[in-house]
Amino acid sequence: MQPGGTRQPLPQLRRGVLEFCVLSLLRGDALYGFDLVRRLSEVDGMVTTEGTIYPLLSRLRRDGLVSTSWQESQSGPPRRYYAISAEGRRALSVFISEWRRFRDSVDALLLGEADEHGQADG
Amino acid sequence: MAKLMADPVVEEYLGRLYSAARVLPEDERRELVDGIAGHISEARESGAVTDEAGLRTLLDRLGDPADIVAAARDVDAAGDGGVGPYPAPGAPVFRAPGAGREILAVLLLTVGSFLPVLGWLVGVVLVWTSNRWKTGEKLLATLVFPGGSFLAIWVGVLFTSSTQSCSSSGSVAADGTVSKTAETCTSTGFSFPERIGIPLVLGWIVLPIVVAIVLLVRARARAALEPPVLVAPRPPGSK
Repeated sequence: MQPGGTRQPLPQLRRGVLEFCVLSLLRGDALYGFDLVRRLSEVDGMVTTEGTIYPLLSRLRRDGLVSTSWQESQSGPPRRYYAISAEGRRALSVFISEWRRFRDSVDALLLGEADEHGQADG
Repeated sequence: MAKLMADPVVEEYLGRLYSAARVLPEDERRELVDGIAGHISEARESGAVTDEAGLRTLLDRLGDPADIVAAARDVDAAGDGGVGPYPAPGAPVFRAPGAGREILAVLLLTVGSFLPVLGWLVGVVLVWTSNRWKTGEKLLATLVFPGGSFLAIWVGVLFTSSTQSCSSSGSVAADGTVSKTAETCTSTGFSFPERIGIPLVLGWIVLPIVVAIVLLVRARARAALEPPVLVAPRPPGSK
């Protein structure tokens, strides 16, 4: 890809887990797009291109993981609200348990390596 | 909204987005552009954006329209169970294998037999050259459709319309009453008794339809298990 360049694994990783972060935010009240994007952006390193959340929301809706409804807004045009569906909750809880295992395994490998290097250097 | 659309910076941005999104299905394209337009309008309503510099920061954070559309295609690919993203112009197009040949074969064996012998014959050749049926099914297709459904109808027409001619002889009496003395009917041609003939012809018509449905369902099920086939590269610029 980039000769001699650094690999960039994080964008790919982020893409994979972003939809579950969106679902997590929707576990409480329904949110409208702008509000949802703002909350996601407040989390460090979560979103680099805010516009990409919208196609993701469309796909979650098509997959039945979220439902949408239009609600009047006091300040402007109607807003499209997103709410998590029962299926979305199921998908999220499956992901959470898988994520924990995966995260622990990666941590174990990465931190193990780091310790070895630390000893070699020291 | 009018104020929003009147802003040349926003207008230009949404124009680029709409244009880049032409590779998406029409409803997704509209939903995407509506979503982003709504986002910009909300940001301004919320007071987060007050001047042109703020507006440019907002658009920067939303990202380049091309990147947003690329992400839309990415999530489509992730969500559709591996059929692939909407292809870029010029990229190869894959699709699930169809069972067109098998459908044609069954059509020829049934409806195609309206063209006596020839339509059915071509159907039989198609059946035996298909790899989606087992030998037993091929035999079934060949033997249950002998001559095809329409042959049954032709035969049915032939047998039931065997010509019948009747002649009566009688005399007219002086008071005007007719007295019939004899009526003779003669049939020419061979005819099954109706009790046997009608069920036989109906069976000949119905059975092939049942077999046709079974064969089609099996062919399609087997086709669905095959890997996607490369259709053709899309001509550049096509939707």
